[in-house]
Amino acid sequence: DCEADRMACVRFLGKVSNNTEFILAETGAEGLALLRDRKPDCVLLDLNLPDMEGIELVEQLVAEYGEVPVPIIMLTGQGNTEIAVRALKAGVADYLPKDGMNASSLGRAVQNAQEKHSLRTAVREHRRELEKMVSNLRKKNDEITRFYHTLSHELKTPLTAATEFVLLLLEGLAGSINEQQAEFLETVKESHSLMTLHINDILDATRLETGKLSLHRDSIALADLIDRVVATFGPSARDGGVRLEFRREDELPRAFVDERRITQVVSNLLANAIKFTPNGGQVSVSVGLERGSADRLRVSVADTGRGISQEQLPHIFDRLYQVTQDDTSIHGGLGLGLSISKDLVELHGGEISVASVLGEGSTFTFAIPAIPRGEKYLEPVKESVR
Amino acid sequence: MKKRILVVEDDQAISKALMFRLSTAGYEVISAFDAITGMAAAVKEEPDVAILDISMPDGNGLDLAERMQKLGKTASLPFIVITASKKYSLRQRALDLGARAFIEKPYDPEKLLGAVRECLGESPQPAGR
Repeated sequence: DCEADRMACVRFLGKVSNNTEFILAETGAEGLALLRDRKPDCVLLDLNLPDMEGIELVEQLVAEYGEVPVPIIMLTGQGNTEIAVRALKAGVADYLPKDGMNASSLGRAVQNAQEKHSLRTAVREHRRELEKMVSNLRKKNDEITRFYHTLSHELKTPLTAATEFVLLLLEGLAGSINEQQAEFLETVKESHSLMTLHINDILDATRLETGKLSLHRDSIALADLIDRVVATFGPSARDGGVRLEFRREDELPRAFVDERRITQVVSNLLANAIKFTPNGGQVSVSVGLERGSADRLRVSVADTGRGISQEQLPHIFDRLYQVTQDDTSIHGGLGLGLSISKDLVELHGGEISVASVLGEGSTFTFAIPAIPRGEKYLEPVKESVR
Repeated sequence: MKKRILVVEDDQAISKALMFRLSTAGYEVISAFDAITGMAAAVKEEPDVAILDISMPDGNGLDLAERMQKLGKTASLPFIVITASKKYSLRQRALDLGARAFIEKPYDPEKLLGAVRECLGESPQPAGR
């Protein structure tokens, strides 16, 4: 509001550059009106105006625009640093004491204020864009989950009837069948089983990908569980001429796991081991304690099968990756099993790894945290693996 | 007197398969294809057990179970839930509502028949068929 101060600013900035246009105001209200109207590149604002405090003007702008719309430099008198700091907090770009102000200090202040303001505006803009992107991605995630749930349901429904009718026929409940009919029906039955497995795998993989798979954990005796799983593979091992062996250490601590999911992991590893081991070979499963900074339970499935080459080894847990060899075609399966197993183990706070020698065999090992003695359960480690 | 089983399932193929499986096992089967008809049949036909599909287009099998519980006549009707969904929350809700069994599709006929026998208080089938 002081004429002398206004003219001083004009004079100083006139020295710095000669194509600056100056818009002058005497009161806060006049200043606001001109600001809205003329949209200046920078505002020099006095601390005290006849009709309001300088800081009030800033606050009014923020209320109106949601943010400070132009760079503002507050001109202060002696010893007003406290107010100046308040002004900075309110959104002012800089403050400059009128005492000792000269062309160069004012010129620099104006330039810095403009740069600071444009950086701030850019950051705000980016943040808004990112938030929009995140919100869209979340929506997309939910859409994908819903789609796969529907898909899974729609596929399982006809599969249910198909499976059951084949079973009814095989049981002779619709009339006796001859050997060839039985054989054909068995093949259909196996195809149906595979379809069911694939659909379940797709749903699991999707849930893991979208972070929607949750574990239901309980304190269990892991070795007992694995013993049971191994037993269920007895027939299939016998069919393949593979010797199946199970070893366990004594007095193992309990594990806090989702029984169904760990069964899924062990079943996946066992099924692979048996599948890739020729007649006369052996698959050994062992459960032991791994001591360390935190004790873990280690489970390994070792086979004397065809092994995995060094090139393929690093990719073995990738989604949709399948081991192929020159002389044989893809062995069936969606290639999701190991990727799902890895995700499930990691969701439990564990680790999975593989060692293999081509032509000799492979050993898949996973380790999960053990429940320390005297405690009931472990705190959950992760919400999701992605 | 044959025991009567109410099957509420919207998919016709599955309903047919269930009908055949259960009647071959010696039960009389009443079929309903949606929740409303299912409720009406539960009241009118007085079945001994109900098998309820969860996801039907115009009515959830679990909502039906809840309604049956609230009505005096059907409150003590033992029921089994079958579903293609693996959602844990559904399983939880079914058990909370008092379902005697929760069977996933495609179903293992042995498991299903076992659950039916258990609901009817029949002794389990001897092993080795």
